[in-house]
Amino acid sequence: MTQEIMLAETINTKEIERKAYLSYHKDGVIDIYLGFAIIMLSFFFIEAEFNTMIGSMGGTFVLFPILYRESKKNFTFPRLGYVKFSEKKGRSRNSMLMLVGLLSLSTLLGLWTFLLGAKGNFFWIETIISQWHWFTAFLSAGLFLLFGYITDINRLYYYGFLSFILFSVGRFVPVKSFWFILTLGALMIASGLVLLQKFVRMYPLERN
Amino acid sequence: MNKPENREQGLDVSEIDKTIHEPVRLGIVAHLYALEAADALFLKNQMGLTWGNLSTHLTRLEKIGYIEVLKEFVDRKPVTSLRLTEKGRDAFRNYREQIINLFENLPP
Repeated sequence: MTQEIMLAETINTKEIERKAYLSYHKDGVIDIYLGFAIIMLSFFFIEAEFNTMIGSMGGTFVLFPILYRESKKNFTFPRLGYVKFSEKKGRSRNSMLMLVGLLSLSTLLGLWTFLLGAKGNFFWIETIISQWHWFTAFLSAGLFLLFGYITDINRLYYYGFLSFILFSVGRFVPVKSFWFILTLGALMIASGLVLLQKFVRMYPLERN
Repeated sequence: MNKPENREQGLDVSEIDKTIHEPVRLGIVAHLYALEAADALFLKNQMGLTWGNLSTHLTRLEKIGYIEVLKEFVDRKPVTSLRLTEKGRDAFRNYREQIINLFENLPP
């Protein structure tokens, strides 16, 4: 590497910020929590009491962000160190743009659904129900891709691809849907645990 | 190439800030320029330095007034964070411009 390239890399502040941000997600904690959330989601597809399902899902969405924050605070920060990212930088602006875009798209879809419903046209619901494997495959892949794009965590694209493959295979294999969702969640947890192990080795706790 | 020729082409390397030009200090200043604040552990991990090496360079940068050390509470826990001062920010901007000019004006 020439001196010029080394200097250019050192003063590429956007890359420094990106690298610093990504190092916080090397711990695999997000993979483990997302994996657990997906496993909780799989309970929708087994015969459980409705209230239990709603309770577990509600608990997941309320508890997981708290547990995730606590895990980061007590596990990641003491190992990696403290950093405060600038709020003026492009990343937060991109995330806000994506959020506004997503909300606008949801509003338009909601309006379209309402208008079709008002006209008594429920063909689209019937299509979704009959082709729900494909619908889930595209929806989960789309969500992972979007989340991957917003967070800049590349492995979420792989999860998107994996979920697409799993749900597409589910269209042709006579196995209960529950198992495909459970497999996806379990694979994400396993991947998270491998990353966590690597992270612990790479960043041991400092004694002082 | 001698010094007068360098000056004519805007390549006066003697004007480059030697405090920042040192690779480790350049790395520290660049990190603190890109991030709002960070502690020593974070810088050490990001740059792959030893405590001794980092400490030496931080002391030098603090003495010259490019960085400041702040004691603050984050989530009710005490954190010693490092920030770039305005002087340090200006010095880094100047250094970056100088380096870019230097390489842009080099003959192919």
